[in-house]
Amino acid sequence: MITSPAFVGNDQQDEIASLVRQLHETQKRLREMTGGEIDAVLLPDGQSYLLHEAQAQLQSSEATQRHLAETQVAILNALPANIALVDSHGTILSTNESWRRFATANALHGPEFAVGENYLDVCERATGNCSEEARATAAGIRRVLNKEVADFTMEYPCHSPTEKRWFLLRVSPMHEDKSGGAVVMHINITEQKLAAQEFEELSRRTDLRERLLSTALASMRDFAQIYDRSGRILFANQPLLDLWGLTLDQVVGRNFIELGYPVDLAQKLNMQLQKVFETGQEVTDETPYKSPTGVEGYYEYIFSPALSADGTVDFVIGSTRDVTLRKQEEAEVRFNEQRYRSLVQATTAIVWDTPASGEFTVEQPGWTSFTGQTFEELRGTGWLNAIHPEDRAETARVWSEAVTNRSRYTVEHRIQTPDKTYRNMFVRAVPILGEDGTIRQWIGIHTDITERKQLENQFLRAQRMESIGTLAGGIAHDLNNILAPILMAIDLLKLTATDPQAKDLLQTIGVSAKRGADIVRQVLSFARGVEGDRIEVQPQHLIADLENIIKDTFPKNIRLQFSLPEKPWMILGDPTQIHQILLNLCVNARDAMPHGGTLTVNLENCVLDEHYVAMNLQAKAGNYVQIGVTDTGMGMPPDILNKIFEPFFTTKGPNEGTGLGLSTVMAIVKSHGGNVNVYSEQGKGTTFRIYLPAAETSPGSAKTQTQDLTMPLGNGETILVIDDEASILDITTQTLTAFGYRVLCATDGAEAIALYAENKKNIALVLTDMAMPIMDGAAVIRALLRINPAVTIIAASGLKVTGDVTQIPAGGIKHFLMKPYTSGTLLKSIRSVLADSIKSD
Amino acid sequence: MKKTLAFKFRLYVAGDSPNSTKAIANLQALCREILSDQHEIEVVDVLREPERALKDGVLLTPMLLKLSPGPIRKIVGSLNNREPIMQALGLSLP
Repeated sequence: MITSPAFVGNDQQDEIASLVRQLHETQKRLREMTGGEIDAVLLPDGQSYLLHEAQAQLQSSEATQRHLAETQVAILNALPANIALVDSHGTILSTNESWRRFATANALHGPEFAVGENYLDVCERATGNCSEEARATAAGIRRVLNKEVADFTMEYPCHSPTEKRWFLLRVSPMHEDKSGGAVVMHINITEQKLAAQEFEELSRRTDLRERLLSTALASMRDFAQIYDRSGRILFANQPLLDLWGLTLDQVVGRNFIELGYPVDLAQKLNMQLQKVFETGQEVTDETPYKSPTGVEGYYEYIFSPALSADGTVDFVIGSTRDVTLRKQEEAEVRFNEQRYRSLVQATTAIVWDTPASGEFTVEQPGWTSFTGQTFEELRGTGWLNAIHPEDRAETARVWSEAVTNRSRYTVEHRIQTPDKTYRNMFVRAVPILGEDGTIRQWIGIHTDITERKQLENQFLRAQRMESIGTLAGGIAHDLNNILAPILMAIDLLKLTATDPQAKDLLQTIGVSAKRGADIVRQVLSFARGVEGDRIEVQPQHLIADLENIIKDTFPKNIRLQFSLPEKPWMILGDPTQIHQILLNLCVNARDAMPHGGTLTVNLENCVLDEHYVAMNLQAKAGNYVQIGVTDTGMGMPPDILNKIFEPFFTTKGPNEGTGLGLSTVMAIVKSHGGNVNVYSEQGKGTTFRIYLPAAETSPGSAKTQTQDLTMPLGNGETILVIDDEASILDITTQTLTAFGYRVLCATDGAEAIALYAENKKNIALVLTDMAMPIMDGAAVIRALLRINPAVTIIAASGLKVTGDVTQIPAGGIKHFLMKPYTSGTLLKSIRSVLADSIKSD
Repeated sequence: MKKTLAFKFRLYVAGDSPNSTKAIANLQALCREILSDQHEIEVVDVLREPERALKDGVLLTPMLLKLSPGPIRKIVGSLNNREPIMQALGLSLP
């Protein structure tokens, strides 16, 4: 024991020094013996003496330990877990800052969590909401303390009234191999838990949405696709996959080319996708497409942009619809439309359509080409201007009636053509009704019925003629019955009459009655139509007769050629009618050659065989006498040639022809059982060939007829005919001309005198009517006598004695003709008068 | 069930002094490696239980007593050198 140094004496000093030396030696020796590997020596009293190296080390170690402990506390406090250390009995040895804060915050448990409390007891005593979890905590700690488990982990909820909380309990032994207590950690995992729950909820919802979407997309009939920026498929719905015959895995990441699209289609689609990516604008288009599974169709598609938050296009959504059926329907509609248009264009009628108002609103090509009205002229109600003013009212009336009844209507009116002539049109229009029954549109057709109208008019005229004929025939028949007894009575009276004057009277009555009977016969002949006699006629006589007439009457610039076979066959027919048709054809030929030419009349025997008949359906096989009349005139164009036999068709002026000439020719030839052919060439001439059946007794039949061919002919003498009635003048002129005379005509006295003064040397005879206005026949005769006392005059009158006939010098009138007179009478009179005047000359 | 232990050791140390601490660590390592856990180590701190040290005639720490298998042998030091222990255990020739 060392006491205060003041009490240390010299001896003690030496002893102390010796002891210290001994201690130093002892320590040194011990260190040498143990190699410095000992820390302390145990003294007999049980005290330990630490060697100074150990003491020094122990001091520094203690400092280190303290520092370490402080560090560990700091670490524990910094941990975001509530940590407590418990001993092997569960008594709380130590807690960290977080534990204490938690205990303070949950004031209820406050003191129970403090150091020194038994945590197991605390947990097992717990009541309330989290008591179950507390007991489970205690059980866990116990198992660790008892080394039943290496450590214990448990998640548990511990919700406060204000918030939901979850904790993770982790219990681990404090020391590895000692059973000395445990570390109890409560880690607040509320955030993770909530995040996890949220994530779970989110993924559950996302999953549901995804399933809904893919189900929806799969059940769509449209094809849905999603493309990325490089035009590769990100998604395709089931219908599209079925069309391709591929699975989703097979198509994802592939582009159009890789999916087997035709190159040009793939390029087009890629360009459109690129456009959507660049502009963000939707693209709509359609295309034909044949899928790898062989399905062919027409598809309409939309590429829509899917925009990201910053407005750029993330990907493109494609929606494709199969419009094959619609396309087919469209094509069908187009075809029908085309067909309708072709029909409208092909028809000669005008087809038009208007809205309910009846006003033209769109172009009407048919109307325009028929009327010449431009669209501007016809639009609205402008089309009315093309309708004949007299027909407008009726058209309007019929139309407004149809509007009221919503019915179709028909009307006839005349519309004007570009050459300002009117055409008769038949209009038929039908309304197209809307679903509500109102008129939506009119569709109408104008048919040109001008020709039909004309034919109708001709038919009406012919009917009128026929009825007049029938009427006349009836009257004629009655008159015949009246005349027959008279004629018979006269013959009887002649036998008994003795008085010469009475005989004369009877003669006169007989003549008149015969004349009456003749007239009746003529009327009956007209009423019967063209039926005439059927007797054997020698055609060469007809031709000779014709030649005579023509030679004298036709202009000299027309050369005549007549040709006959040596023995022409006989014709069975009516000589008058045959004469008439030949004359008719020759007159036509003359008119066709106003500047001269050659008229050829030839006669031939001919046999029409079956071969000929086959080529000409109107002909019958047999023997015929063919008479040809050929001119070298202007000829006829085909459209006129087709109409020349139609009644009332004429190319001559209004008063020059009746339009009945050739139709009469045709009728007569037909009634004879023959036929007519025409050959015409424009600018070269026309040939009519008439085939008349030869008499059965032909050839060489001797049954010759001479009737009517004994009419005395003139020798080209000039006759001045004066009559105020044009028709009489006309017929007389024709007759005289036909029978070999030249004729000068005058319609009144003054003209007649002038003509005579001019041509007195040529005029062989003057035929004048006695009853004329202004200057009557007697005055004319006197004037003529003054010019030429030797003038040869025949006077004609309906009256026996007319005007100042008494003033005419005796012999001034050579002959008196009673009106009406026949051609025969006229010709005979002229012939005899001329013969007398020649004798007297 | 308590397993039968082949080796029993008692190690006297002086608190946390350096050589004592080393001795504990060295002994534990040696036992784990060579004796396959068929052992029991009792660590006695002479600062706390000096009477046991006096009874066992311990004069210096750290000191290891091999209690079984017999005979009892004493080894002084931090047990850095394994040879003396092996010899004491009869696991190597002296």
